[in-house]
Amino acid sequence: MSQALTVLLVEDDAAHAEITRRNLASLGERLGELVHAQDGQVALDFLFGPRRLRPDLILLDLRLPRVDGFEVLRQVKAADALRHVPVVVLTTSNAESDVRAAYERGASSYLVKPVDFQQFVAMMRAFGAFWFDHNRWPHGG
Amino acid sequence: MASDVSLLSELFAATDEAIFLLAEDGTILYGTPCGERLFGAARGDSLPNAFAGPRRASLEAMVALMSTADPIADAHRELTLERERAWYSLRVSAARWQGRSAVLVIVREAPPAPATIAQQQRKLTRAENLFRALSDNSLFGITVSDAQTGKYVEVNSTFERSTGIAREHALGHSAEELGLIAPGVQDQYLEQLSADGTTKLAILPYVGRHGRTFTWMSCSTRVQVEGAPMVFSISFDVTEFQQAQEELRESDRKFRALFDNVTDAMFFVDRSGRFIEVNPAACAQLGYSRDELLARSALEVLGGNEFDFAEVQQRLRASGQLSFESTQQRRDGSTFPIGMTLAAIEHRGSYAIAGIGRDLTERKQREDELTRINDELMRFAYTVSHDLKSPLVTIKSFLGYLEEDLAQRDGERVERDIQHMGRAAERMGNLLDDLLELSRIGRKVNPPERIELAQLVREASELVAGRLESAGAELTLLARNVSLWGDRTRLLEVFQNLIDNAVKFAVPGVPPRILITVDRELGELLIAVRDNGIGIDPRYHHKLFGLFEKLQPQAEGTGIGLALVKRIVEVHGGRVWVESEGEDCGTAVCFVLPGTTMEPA
Repeated sequence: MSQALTVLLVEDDAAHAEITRRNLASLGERLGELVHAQDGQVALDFLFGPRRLRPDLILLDLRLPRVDGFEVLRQVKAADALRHVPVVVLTTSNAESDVRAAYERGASSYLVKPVDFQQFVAMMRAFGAFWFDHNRWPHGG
Repeated sequence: MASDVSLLSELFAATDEAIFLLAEDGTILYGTPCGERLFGAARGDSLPNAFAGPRRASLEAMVALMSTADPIADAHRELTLERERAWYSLRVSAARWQGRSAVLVIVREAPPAPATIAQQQRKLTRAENLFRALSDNSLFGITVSDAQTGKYVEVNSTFERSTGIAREHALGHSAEELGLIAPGVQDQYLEQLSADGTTKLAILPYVGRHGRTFTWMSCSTRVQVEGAPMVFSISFDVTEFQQAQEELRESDRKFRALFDNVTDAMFFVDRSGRFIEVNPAACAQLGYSRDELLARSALEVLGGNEFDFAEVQQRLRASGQLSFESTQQRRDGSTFPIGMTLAAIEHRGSYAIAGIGRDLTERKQREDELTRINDELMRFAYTVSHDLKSPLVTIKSFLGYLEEDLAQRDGERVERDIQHMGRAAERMGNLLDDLLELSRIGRKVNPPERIELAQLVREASELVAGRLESAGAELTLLARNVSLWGDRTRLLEVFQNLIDNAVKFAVPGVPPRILITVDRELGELLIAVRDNGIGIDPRYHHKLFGLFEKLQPQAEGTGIGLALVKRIVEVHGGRVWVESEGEDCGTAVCFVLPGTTMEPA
């Protein structure tokens, strides 16, 4: 029953990655592995490369070196094996055009930094319970 | 008695008086030779008939009265009668002749009755006054002058007002003598008048007393007055008309100059849709000659566009003026954006259209350019706000953790929190410095100069000498006698950045080899800074020159280097791009700068 979540964090700013890591720690045993990709290309390599990472959740920054967050989002939502993975955008941008573009491309949620992680973690717990209860992890995990 | 008669006869024959002896009915029984000579009436004629007019009856009545009267009692009567404009005094007496009643009439020339003279005088005065009033109150200058000499015989007050010369000074002098007209003009005019005696019309310039110039339109006729040839002239001051006309012509010339030289197309279209007039700009814009346009209908030339000419006409009638933008076709079928302004005007009592067409090609280009710059600015603002927010988010977040960690007395974490915050603050400072640097480029402060490429490369390498040396890098310039044109300080920055990048992105363990080349390609001198470094995946080339774009998050710097290079090159009117086959293939940053020259070696 006690399955831990695998989270893919796509974040180029080391400090921001540290902030997210620290907050997710409060998920306790619910958080299994936190995989950190420093840019969009690395994230795509994790997902589509030999590792074939199947995270339960993707936390995605938008402005990233090489391949940006929108492109990662597009590719995730275009892949059958990944389509159902919830993608939560974490960005400093509160531009309406970015918000709209993210949701249009299939983002599950859009959070503007600095994020109120307490609320976010509470939501994760709730959704996590839902996922466990229905044994409906996006990829049957 | 007989001797009396013969004496009488002799007297009658000799007298200078006109004496008639009349029968009762007025028939002349006897008349003196003088009477016969003066009145053409001889024995047997009727004397009353010799006097015409209504007062003849008076004479008849007088004869009838006298013939019946007692010659003693009624001595005589006096009668004044007019005959052929001469006045005669008739003394009528009763007489007896051969036993019959007769009437003796003695006729003398006589001045008219004082009453008649006064009447005539009044008539004459009245006529003269009327003429004077007419003459003096007329707007026309009226003059009478000698046909031979041109000397004024009479002038009216309008003449005095117009010329500034008083009548008494004018009379006896000609216009030429008075300096009113140019020498010679008067003689020519008088000659023409005498040639055919008809009324002549002339428009001549005059110079009045105080130098006032005016123009008279004169109507002159040559007439005989008491045997002397005279010239009667009626003149009208047409100076104002002429000035108005000249002003109109002047205004017309001005508008014509505008019409011919303005860069906007201007045209007039009549109600049937035909061009009435087009200006050179209209011909140039539309690609027709003037004659071709005038032979065509506006419907044909302008109507083939986006707007409906009939509808335009209707709207014009309603509102009087209309402005819109449209796409206009030239004669060759090509099109251009046009701003059209039409106005309803009157032309020869009918409705017509005046139109102005402005070629908006340049404006549209500027608008597009402005839109592009605006978009760029938006992207810039977006990037800047995002990138400046990041360190703030970091600082704010770790400030929260710092409180927590202090409360928990976790010294290690406190130290880490402070480190994160310090780095974020430092990064923020770097970003702001770089932004400031970038913003300075637009305002090129240094005047452009010719710069030797070799010199510039040498200076740039000196600026990064430390890094070059520690990396064991080798820098080679493969071009001679190349010089650039521009802001020395900025161009130095370009090379400094590119050389720095070449070293920074070297393959670990491989000493950097940097090659600067200049090649002539398609008439342009292409400068390239090539390296043997890690190379760049073609997928990311488009992001390279973006502000604060870093392909490697861990690489040092803010990611402004290539954005700076691009900005400097573009401010110099050049362009820059990157060539790299991919990872481990090395990189070449290429650019073209206007004004670059290469002397043959």
